[in-house]
Amino acid sequence: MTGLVVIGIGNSFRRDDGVGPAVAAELIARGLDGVRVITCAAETAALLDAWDGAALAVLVDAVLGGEPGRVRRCSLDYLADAVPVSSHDLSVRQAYDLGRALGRAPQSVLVVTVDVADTGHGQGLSPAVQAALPDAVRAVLAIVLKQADEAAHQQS
Amino acid sequence: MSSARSRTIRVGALTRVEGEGALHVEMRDGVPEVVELNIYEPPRFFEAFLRGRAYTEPPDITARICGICPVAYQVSACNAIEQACGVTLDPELIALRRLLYCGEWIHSHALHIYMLHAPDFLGAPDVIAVARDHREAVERGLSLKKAGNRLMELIGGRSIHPVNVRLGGFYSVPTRADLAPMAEQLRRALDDALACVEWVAAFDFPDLTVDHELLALRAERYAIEDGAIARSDGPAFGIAEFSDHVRETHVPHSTALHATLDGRRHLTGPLARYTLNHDTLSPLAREAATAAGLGSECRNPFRSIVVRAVEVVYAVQEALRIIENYQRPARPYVPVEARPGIGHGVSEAPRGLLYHRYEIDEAGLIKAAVIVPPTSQNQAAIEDDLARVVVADGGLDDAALTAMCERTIRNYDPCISCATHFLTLRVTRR
Repeated sequence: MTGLVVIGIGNSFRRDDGVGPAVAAELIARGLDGVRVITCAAETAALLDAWDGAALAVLVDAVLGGEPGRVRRCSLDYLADAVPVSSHDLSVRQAYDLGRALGRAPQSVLVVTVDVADTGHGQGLSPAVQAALPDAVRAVLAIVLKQADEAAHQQS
Repeated sequence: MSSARSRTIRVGALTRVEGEGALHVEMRDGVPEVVELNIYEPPRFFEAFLRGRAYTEPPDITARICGICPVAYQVSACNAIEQACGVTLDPELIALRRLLYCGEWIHSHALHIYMLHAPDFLGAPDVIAVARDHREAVERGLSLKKAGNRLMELIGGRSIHPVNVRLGGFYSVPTRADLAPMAEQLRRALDDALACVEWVAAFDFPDLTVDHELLALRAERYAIEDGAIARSDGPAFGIAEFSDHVRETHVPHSTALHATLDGRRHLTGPLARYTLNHDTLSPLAREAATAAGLGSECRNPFRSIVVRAVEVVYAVQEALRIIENYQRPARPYVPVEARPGIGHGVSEAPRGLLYHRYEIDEAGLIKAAVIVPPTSQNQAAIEDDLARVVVADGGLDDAALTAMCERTIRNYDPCISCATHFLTLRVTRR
């Protein structure tokens, strides 16, 4: 299993919930070699496809209830108690557990979260979240570079 | 809490249904005295805030009532307003509308069968546990759901809350070439759908035969995007008379209205649709139904999972048929000019008959709106089923009886969000 995938999770039509896709858009614009960058609305089947075959999946997602604009890096376990947005779908954590049961989960998952303020209807990020975008992009790039270094180290 | 004469069972939240609600059952000496489906999700006031909006807006606004069946809302709304404005769609546009609706049936039914309902029959808490022992089946379910989603994306612009539907038809219509890759995916989906029927047919089904009156649409082909009203016990009536027969009343324990058919509980959805329309299924879907042990009617709600699987076979095959015969419509939509009056529209949402009525004023604004979703029609039937189940299974311990009640509710794939316009379970036995 090789490869790295970055998945920007969220809905750009729900204000700050679009921060994951916004980070993905920045990374796509930079054109990272050997890294798949995908935007996804956290729908289970789409997530399973997005990280299928990846050694590492980096999920970028919005988190409610913190300090708007704060960027954090954590493991998937941090999301263990997250409830799905719709009772007709699975949470990201449940989608990962389903992926494992189906043999379709990445070897490892890291999560970059951005605390958000406004998930109301409409496009555009709130000022605090917009201002945190570069930090979020840097947090993902740091993971990507570290992964590349480790891969190079293993080959040498 | 239980004693020789009384028992109390409480469940914090009913899972694997859409929306928020609770069940309250009180039993004395094994006889249910109170069976109430408490829908506490706040009322959503769609009918109220549609008033004063332009006659062109209800298809997009009402689509927001449900993330699982937005096409049903769009189509019933379009049907009603087009009728009010005296517009008939070109046959090619009706076919495309039916094709989009097939996508919604495939995705919604696959979701309910594999992710929400199958765990009940396999003694599993959720689809993740099912996947550990039935990996191939769950992969098949995901693949079927994806085929439905893709069809909705292709015709509707996106799989959730499609944006390509408008009064009179669509904003843009695909070419034959656009549909060709979809046909490939649907041919694989047809094999998956047939395997799905075989898989669910092998489940164990509790005995339960219900006598609710059945209400569904009926058309030349298996009713989906439109049809005439059919019922099992009384004489059929015209769509314009819907509100004379299906009356909504407010009950204190629920924010969703309860509906009755001529004063009696009734049932809409897969069992009603199948029983009233078995003869209009495709030969392949009928064959699959027969092989799965279904007769020409089905009145056991626990077997609704089999009916849904048969309907997936039908919807996939129907989508393939429409694509095969597809001629790109000469125009993407028929112009719909506002006309004051009243329009009634119906269609078969995955969960059953969905009725819309709009009154349009001289300025082309919505003067009044009535939306009767399937789940509010089915509430009385669900409560009746629960009363039967708690009597028939009164010997079960509290945990097992609670699980049985939850299963009984999930048989209906209730969409509480649609109906609140709805679960925590509490059973009290005295």
